Amino acid sequence: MINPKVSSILFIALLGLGIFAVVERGTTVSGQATSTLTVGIVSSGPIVALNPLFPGGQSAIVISQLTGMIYQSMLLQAPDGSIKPQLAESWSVNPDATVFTFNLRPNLKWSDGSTLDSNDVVYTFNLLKSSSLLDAFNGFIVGPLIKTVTAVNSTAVRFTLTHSFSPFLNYAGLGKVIVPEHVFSKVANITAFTNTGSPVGDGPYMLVNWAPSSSVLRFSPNPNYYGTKPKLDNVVIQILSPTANIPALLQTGELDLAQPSPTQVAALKSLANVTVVTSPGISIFGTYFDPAGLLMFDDALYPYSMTAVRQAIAYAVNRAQIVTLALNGYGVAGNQGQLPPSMTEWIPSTLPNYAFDTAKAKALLTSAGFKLGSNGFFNLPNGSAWKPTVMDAGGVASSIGSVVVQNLRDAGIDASESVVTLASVVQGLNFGTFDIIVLQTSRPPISDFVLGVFASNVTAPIGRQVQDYHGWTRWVNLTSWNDLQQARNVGSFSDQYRIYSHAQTILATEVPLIVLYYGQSIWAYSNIKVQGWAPATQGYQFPQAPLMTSLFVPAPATQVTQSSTAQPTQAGQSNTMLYMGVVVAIILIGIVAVAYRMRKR
Amino acid sequence: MIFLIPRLVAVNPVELIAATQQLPASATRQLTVQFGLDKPLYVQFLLYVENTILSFPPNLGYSYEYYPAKVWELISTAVPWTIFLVGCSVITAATIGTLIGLVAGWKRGSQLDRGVTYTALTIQSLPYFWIAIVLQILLAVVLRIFPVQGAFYVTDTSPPLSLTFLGDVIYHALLPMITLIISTVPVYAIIMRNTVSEIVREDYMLVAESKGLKKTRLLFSYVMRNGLLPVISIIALNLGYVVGGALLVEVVFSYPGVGTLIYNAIQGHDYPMIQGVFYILSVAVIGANYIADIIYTYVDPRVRYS
Repeated sequence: MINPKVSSILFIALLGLGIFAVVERGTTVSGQATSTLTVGIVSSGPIVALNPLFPGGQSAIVISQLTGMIYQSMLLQAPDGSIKPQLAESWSVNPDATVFTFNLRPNLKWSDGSTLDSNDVVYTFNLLKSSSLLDAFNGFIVGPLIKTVTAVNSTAVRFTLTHSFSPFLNYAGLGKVIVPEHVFSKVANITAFTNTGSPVGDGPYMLVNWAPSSSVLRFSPNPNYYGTKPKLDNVVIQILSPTANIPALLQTGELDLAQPSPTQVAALKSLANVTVVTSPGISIFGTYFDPAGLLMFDDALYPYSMTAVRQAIAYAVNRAQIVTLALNGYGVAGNQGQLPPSMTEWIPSTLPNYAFDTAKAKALLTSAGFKLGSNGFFNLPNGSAWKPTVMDAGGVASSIGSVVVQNLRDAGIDASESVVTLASVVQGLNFGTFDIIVLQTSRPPISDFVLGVFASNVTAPIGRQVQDYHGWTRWVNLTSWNDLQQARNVGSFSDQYRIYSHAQTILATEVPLIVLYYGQSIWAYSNIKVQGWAPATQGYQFPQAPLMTSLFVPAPATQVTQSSTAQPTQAGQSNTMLYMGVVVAIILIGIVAVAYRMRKR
Repeated sequence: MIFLIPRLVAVNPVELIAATQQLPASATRQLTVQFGLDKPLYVQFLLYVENTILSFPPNLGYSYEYYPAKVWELISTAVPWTIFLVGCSVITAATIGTLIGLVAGWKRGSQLDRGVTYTALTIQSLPYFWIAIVLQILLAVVLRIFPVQGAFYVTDTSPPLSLTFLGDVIYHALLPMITLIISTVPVYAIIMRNTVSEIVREDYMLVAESKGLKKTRLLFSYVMRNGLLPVISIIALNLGYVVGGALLVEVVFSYPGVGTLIYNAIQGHDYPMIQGVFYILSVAVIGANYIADIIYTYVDPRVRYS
């Protein structure tokens, strides 16, 4: 390193490695033609475990996307919201919604060839009952609800609930995958189970190559899958960092399919070889979770404890502007009943409408005793300054926060933005140490879940931690709470509609939080390489079986296994490689000459 | 300090997991106990000392953010990529920078010297993530010479350590390496140039020149050998920080190194991961400085004899 000769040798060695790399990449290896789809999945860090029951510290959405290739739920939600058979071909419920029976398809098999029957379903749900940590993904409601789960025969499973609970079909049939008893029963600690090697699943694909922390996962068709056989020979998933340049990766052919952020869509739409599609929500184990942006208040903190203040802010915030500016139009403005557009049939037309109206916001504040100061901003009724802080965790939330702050300032509220870590946001919500927070979340399209996610019959004083996320708003309304409990006990649509309408009306009037928008799930794919995104499958998304068994990649006769994603890149690459090789060779000759002179001396 | 500083921010990391996974209160409590966060701070510290400093190999525990992965597993997976990327870059940049600085200092005051100095100062003032983005767009997206990101082609089925795989890995590392080399060559060049400018004014140089020694001998045996001393210190420091990675370059190129782990650990208040990475980093910096001291004794006889 110190000696110039040694340095030169090291330098030459590195350059040699570079040339070797270039030459080696240019080498084609003959092999069997295969069709490979390369999918980019964004994750903030490496994937370390593929446990479909407990994502651990990893993103639940990412883990559900990856394990959704391998495992299936009993039912599947279609893009239009209807429920379709998946592992279960039929189901029934008794009149008081206490007994649910699912009938599995006959002759189901796991990917290792063993039989998938009702015992696996019974095992899975007993496992969920055994630990609250395992009942993830849609609210930890299922486990405690189940009194008994029994196998009626090899294909029929009966759930007896502790009390009437009509949404059970959605909670248990969707969003919960079935796991193989013969594999999971041998695991001592399920929450620490990484599921490496060759996970045994029931989905259209099986994992064939992956090691924890590796950024590449390779899947191939499951020969024992009951449904339509996949047309792809391989699906390779690459884990991308949140800052990955997805437009560039699709443009250069390094990826075939990816989930861009709204801010990347404009760049993607300018690419002729890329098609951008949307679906109603994020696919999590057979169901769609609606992405939503919320404006959370600390409802126990003055002046946000005043309904008029919350209503004034609801009028002051321009939700359509947020959708346009922060989401590039990929979403719809939220409504105060809280239910997303995918649940239109549940939304009453009589809900109060907080259309953007700055004048109305100012009028509400004035009538509540707030006085406009000489600086153009409202002071509190006691005359002291009112300077709310809008907290967010950066990224898209920060774009939303900026719009909200500007909207509030336009309405005479002297707001400012504070960008903090997600951990600090959570800390603020737990302890009530915040004014207003922009929160991005996603929720399953179940009225019981959406209306109840921030409903609590108890709260804690500011500075003390609430029991869990249900209490984040510190808003307690027992009428609304009782509505939700009552709705669980009725089975008919009309009865449920009546009760949920009442609950929504209370939410829309009291405004414990503001739904800023409902987002969409955006996907972009190479329209040159990826085929089969037929109208029939539109709306389904990765990794749902109807889409993943339809997609195909035409395999050219000479396509090689080794570098299929590099094909578009390599075509235009060879000449540049040659030039680069010449330049490197010239540098090398210079270095060798210097070394030679030194040796001669 | 490694233990205390991450805990100065009053955030319970389990609450973050609970919030993102929508865990009920009972599950949150279960995780808090499982991670030992229910214990008093001094007990947690004593456990840390016992598991990390008094144990070999050190038991760095489970990562909160990547649970159920162990910290050591995550670091040991990421470290080789970073050592390869940053280590090669440091060596190459030091070699190029030293040679450029040597020539510029030797010809001080010339057009070449001015050109090198201005260029080096200009490049040095550019943020290296900006250089990374520009190179990525130019060389990967427009010219398509290099891949946009990643450490190897995702469809590569070659077994690890095969020639094809290694070539692929080096090919993917070239663009991040070039970025790091471009951004760090000026550091070495300027230091070397300034040192050489001083050395050529020394009396022993006058004596050597008077003896009629060849210019190349003067340059390499007299000037370069003496001028390398401060460069060695910089190389040693940079090699120590190799383990820390080049965070922003790793982020721009989605390179699976330690830098990304550190960034995510700090964001997620992942105490075990922060402790583990900085523990390894401290050991690496101390080790690199120790090695530098040893090398000094070989390069500079004055150090050896004193």
